[in-house]
Amino acid sequence: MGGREQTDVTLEKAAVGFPTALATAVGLIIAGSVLLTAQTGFGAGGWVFAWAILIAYVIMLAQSASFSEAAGILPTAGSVYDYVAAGMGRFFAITGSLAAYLVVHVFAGVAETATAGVFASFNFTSLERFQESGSWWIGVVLIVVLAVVNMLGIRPYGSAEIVMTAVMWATLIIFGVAGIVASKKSSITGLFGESFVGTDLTAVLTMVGLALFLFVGVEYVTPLASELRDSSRNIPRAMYVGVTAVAAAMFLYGLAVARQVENVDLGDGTFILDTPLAIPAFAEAVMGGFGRVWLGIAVLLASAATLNTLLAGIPRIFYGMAKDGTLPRSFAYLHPKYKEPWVGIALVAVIGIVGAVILDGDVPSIINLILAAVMAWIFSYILVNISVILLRNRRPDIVRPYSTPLYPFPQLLATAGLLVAAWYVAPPGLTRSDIYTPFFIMLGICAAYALIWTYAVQKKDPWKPVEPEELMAVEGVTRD
Amino acid sequence: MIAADLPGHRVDGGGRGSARFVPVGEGVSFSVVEHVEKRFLGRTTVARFVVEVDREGASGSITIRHKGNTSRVGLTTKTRDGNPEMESIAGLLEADAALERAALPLDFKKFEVVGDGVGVKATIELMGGAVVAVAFPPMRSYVRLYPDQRDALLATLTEVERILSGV
Repeated sequence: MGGREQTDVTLEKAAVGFPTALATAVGLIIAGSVLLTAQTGFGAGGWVFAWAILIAYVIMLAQSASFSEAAGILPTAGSVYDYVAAGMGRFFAITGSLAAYLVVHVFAGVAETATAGVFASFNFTSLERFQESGSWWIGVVLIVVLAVVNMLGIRPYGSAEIVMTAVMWATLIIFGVAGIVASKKSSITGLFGESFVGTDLTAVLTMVGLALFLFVGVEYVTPLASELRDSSRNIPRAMYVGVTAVAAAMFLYGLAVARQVENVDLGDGTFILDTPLAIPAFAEAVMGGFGRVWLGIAVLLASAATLNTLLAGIPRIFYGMAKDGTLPRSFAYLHPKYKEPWVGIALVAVIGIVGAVILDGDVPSIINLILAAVMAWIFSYILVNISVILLRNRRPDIVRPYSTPLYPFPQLLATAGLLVAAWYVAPPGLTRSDIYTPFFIMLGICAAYALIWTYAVQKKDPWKPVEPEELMAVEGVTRD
Repeated sequence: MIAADLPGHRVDGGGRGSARFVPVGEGVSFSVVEHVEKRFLGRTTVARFVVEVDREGASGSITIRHKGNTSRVGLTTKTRDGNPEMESIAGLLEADAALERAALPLDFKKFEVVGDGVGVKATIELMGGAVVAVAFPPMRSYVRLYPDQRDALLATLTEVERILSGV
């Protein structure tokens, strides 16, 4: 955390590297909304969804090249904001980072709260009556309990956290491997089952939006460039390992479920692989009734752990924004005894609660929200690609510890792929307006805020790119 | 990154996950130690500010926190496994008006004094000076050590060092 020319301060190696990438990839599968997305994708698309994941994987590899070049130029913690501010100016930087962080949190955080209830109602027979409606209360109870725990400053650190995390990961590995190794119980042909959404190119492209969501969080495996020695080599390596680990984990999951769950008609024209019922069915196929309870508990634990991470981390970010003047001062309030930012914790919980109640376990609506979050990511990712290109033109002099191989092909490929994914974001059964409407409303709000904040508060030119040296000076960071 | 938030200090050595900060002019020297709070699909890297003083005979730990149910009205201490020397230090910390003035505006998560019989170490962990990284949904942010918090921190460390030194 010091200037690197002055000291050799670095973070623990345990925070970076292959083990972290693999652990994150495996952990992401069990996050409720990611699991629901994978389930929905494979259930509807079968081998077509597998192709969509492959396309998303290629897009993410190309995108990783952009992030790696940008991270090398700007080894700061600002990520999307700094990259886009340097390339395109503050207006796009604020709009893009709000879309990438705030909008995504609202959409994906709400989806996570809602899916906790959905999966619990399908995994536990005592909660079956909430499958049609009313499962929202499960997610609400979960987030209220976690909010109170965080407000009281109770931290399940040390052995409790390690044990819980290890159990979740072990569960996924065991079920995944068992699902593949055990004798096949389904009558699928091929590896991933048939597609119910068509088999032409359009069908594949309509699944890419969902597939992109599976790669959410892969940036996490990339530590800050300022944390690493030789970041120009280790940053892209970490990203490529992370993207590959996620793709491999998703393929294995799809393979395991397809082999073990017969895609039966539930009696109303709905097939089991289209519903969250596929998860307990998979668990039972692998390990009987005990397996169903085990996996159900693991999925619930994962939802709780994911929400807990949000409740612990995001209020601190709100605190910083309050100190900055971006949010009201109340978000900087710490309870005198418990030392926790109660207002921020309450807001994170309320967002999840309101969203879960409104969605009420309606899976298509949850998928809409997930795809709206994907749109927000696509928007911010495209801004980063454009910024990398603009910086190459405007500042060819700047040191680039990592230069994108075959520039500008990866940037153009990633951007084209993302635009195509955005155009085809609605899988069969949904319309573009279902997804575009909430996304563009939120984007419009972010853009309006960005204009007002830059003109009226910062009193800066919103369209003028910020020099990378200025951005780094703010954080006292230098390159290797 | 945190060095940029401490313009009156320069880094004077350190190692893996720690750095020694010394004042450019007059002031208190202290160490910054990184601590990573790992969670499922997320982590927060916080900075812990440490002053150490040679002081024989004090062993145990003292936790310091703000008094009050809704707003801060003072400081209070709680000793654990403390010998009489440590209890005495706790009393001094709680009664010191200068320390109270310095620490009241400080947004600390942890404020602890630990003695091992040979020396005494005070550790303060703040809300600022931290990096929050979350995998899902993906976000990463550095929460700065803002000027008001920096000033309060330096004042608090100065007073704590004075009290622990027995000055």
